[in-house]
Amino acid sequence: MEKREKTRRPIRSKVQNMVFVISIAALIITSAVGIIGMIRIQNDSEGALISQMEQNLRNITTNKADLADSELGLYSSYVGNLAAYISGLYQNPSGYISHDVPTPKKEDKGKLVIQRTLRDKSVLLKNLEEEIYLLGNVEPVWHNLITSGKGLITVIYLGTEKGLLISYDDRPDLSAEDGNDVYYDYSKSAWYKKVKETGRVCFTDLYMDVYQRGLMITCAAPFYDADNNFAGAVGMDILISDLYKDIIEVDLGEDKGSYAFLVDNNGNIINNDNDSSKQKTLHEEQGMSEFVASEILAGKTGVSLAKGKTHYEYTPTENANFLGGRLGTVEDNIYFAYTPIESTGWKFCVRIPENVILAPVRSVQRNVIFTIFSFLAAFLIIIVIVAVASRKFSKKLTDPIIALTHDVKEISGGNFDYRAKIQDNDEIGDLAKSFNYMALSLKDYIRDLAAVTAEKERIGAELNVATQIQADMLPRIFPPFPDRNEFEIYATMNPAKEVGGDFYDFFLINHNHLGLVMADVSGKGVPAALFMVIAKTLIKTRALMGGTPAEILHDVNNQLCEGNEAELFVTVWLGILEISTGNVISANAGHEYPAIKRADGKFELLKTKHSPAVATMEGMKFREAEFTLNRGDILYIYTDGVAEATNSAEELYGTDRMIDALNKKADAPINEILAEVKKDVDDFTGDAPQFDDITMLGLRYYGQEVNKMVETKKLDIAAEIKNLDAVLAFVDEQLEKYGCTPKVQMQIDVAVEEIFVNIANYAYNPEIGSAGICVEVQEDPLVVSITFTDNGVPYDPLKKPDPDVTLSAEERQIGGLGIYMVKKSMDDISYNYKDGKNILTIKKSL
Amino acid sequence: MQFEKNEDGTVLRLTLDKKLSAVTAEQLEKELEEKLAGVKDFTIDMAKLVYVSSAGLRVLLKAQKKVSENGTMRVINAVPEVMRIFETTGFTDILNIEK
Repeated sequence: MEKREKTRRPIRSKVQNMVFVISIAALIITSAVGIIGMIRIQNDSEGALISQMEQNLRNITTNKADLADSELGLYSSYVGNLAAYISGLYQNPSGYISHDVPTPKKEDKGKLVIQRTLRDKSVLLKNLEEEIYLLGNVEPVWHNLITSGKGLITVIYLGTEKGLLISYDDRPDLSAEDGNDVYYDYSKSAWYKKVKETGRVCFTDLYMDVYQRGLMITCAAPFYDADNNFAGAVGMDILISDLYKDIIEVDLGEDKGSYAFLVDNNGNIINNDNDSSKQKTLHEEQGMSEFVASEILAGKTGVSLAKGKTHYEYTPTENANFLGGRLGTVEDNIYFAYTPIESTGWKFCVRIPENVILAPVRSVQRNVIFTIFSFLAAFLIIIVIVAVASRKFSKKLTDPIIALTHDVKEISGGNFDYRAKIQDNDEIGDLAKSFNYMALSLKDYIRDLAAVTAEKERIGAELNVATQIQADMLPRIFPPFPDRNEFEIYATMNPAKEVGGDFYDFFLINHNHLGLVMADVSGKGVPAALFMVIAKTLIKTRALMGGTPAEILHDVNNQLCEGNEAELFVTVWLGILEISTGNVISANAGHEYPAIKRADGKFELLKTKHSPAVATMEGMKFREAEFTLNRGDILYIYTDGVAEATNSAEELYGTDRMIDALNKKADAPINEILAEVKKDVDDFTGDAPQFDDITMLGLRYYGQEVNKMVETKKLDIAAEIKNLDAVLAFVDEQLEKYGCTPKVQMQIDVAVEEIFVNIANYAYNPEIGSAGICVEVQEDPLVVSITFTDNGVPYDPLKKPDPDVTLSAEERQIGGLGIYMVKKSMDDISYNYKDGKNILTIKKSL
Repeated sequence: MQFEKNEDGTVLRLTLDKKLSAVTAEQLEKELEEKLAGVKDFTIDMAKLVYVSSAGLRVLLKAQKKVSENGTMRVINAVPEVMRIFETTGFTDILNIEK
């Protein structure tokens, strides 16, 4: 076997594997669906959270900026009004009474008073008196403003181009003695410079109040003289710690990294702290990126993400699970929301780390990981459970099968009394019942079979005997006539069944005539065989009685028709070969055409006229055909088993194939030619069963040798009994030269005596005439022929019927016995009457 | 050929020579005509005989017929060549051949 046997895989392992694979596949699929779903939810919620956060931040920043603008706008309107009032003083000085502005006094400490300061010592008081008395009119306005300012406005002051600084507060400059002017160069102060440069209301940056009252801001505005020239600036210091708190305080949760802050115009982060070391610029803000800083400083409104570094971090979780926390990547990404505050030019910023925003998502993420681990754990547990369960299940499934296999092996081993013991009420139980039933049936069947077989064997044995008998009836020893070299003959029969209806036969009718029979009884088996025996016997017996084939078949036909209740018939080809001449007279009673090969040609069918088969109708006449065999010719006769052999494709072998097969070895001995045909038929039919008997007979004709004459001796002697010894002595003399055996010599002597005595007694009776005895010897083979010649009355001794040698002594006639003995002992005897002479020749091989 | 006869003339024994041809058969026929008279037990010893023709057979048949009228004739020691002639001619059934 070329194909390798597949690796054996028991059902148990198949079931086990299948359950296992299905369970794991189901687990994997559900796990995957669950995890993918969670990851999708995570991603979706991440996006949603971020966009919601962005919206919130935008709202917060704008609201805070609006708040700052509205608060600060209030102060700028105050300052604007003050500036307008002062400008009014310049334009209409006559409308106001003079109001002095004194120098600072120690006694005024703690009281809200108006006081003057000069820019520097180059400023002459006398040049300023008019302006001092005019501008002193601001006191009641300022007083009202400060007292109604809830303490947030700590001081109001103005500075003029001419060098006068008037302030209104409760903390006078005590650097000089009472009554002396104090100096302070305000023109270099930010508020004054800024207003002078811009010509409109300005805010200074935040600064820490020198009296530690908190964060301060100065709001200042320009005023103009009667000629509408810039005359100076009025400002107020405002405590804005509360406002700052209002702005900065944003509810961003408890995370320490989330807070709001303000950036001033210098890009510094405004701090509520006095410590300058804690001051930092926007760029120094933790997590700030260049891009976001530039966006903020450019005064844009928006929300931007500053990408931070990625690092690993262990985060203990609040709700302690079995992991206790998580080790994961943390990105210091920080969201910045920002918007400018119009009135001051500051920027309001909110900082929130991405982690804080995504905290809920991170929690989901943790849950996803937890779930994956849970799945894995469940997975392992389920695998173990499934493995155990599928093992148990498959065992439960296969155990009955294994038990049944064992039982069936027991039964198939020949123990038909054994019964499978599976009682399960399922398919395997059914199978077990079927096997039990089968065992029972087998037992019965085998018992029946044994009986039938015994009967068959008996019949078979008898048929074998019949076959043997039948085979023995056919001449089967080759060469059948070893001393005949005029022809070579061979025949075979292969019955299809044990006994067949075909037969062949050949026999010497006399020394010069050979009968050839090929026949096929209709039907097969025992009846055909019995009929064959009768037909064969009748044909041979009748042929030996003499006559032509037509006469022989006529008689045989009549015999067979008698009481042929079975309506069997037999096709016969009968031929009689005259050995000396090669002439064949044949009759074909419904049989196949013979095939003939001429010495220098090929086999071909010899189509002679048919007659009906023998035993079909009583009194039938049969046709004859005559042909001649020459030296080297072959005659082949056969039954329809050859021509009608059939292969598995239902094709007939046919005579064409037969002729071809015959021609293959046409020059070989006859037995080889027949074997070749049989082989060709077998090759053709292949595995198909042999349908009919296959019977063949072949004869190659050589004819009589043209023998080389060796010697001729002649004796002429008076035909008298007394001369017998002389005649015999003459013959013996010739024979002895060729080493003739005593037995043959005696036979020849007896024959010579019989013929000579015949001539002596009858040829010339009562006179005495002469007899000529001529002895011829031929070689190859060594044959002696002796010719007797006399001139007596014509008489053919061969015409005389043979005596009945079966009669008893009393019934026996003396006479005729001599010629009979000659016929029996000599190979050939022939008579001729020519030129008034009786010529009788006998031949005998030495 | 040689004849031996017992005292009362009822038992005759004949020993044949080599040949029983037409010539010798004629002599035998003549001798038997007188010697067979009264013989009831006739034995022919053929140990030497190798040649017998139809003339010889005729004499043997005649003797058989005559002796069998009131006696028996036996043939003994026939050689195969002679036996063959007896068989061919059916004389095995006629003669009482002992082996």
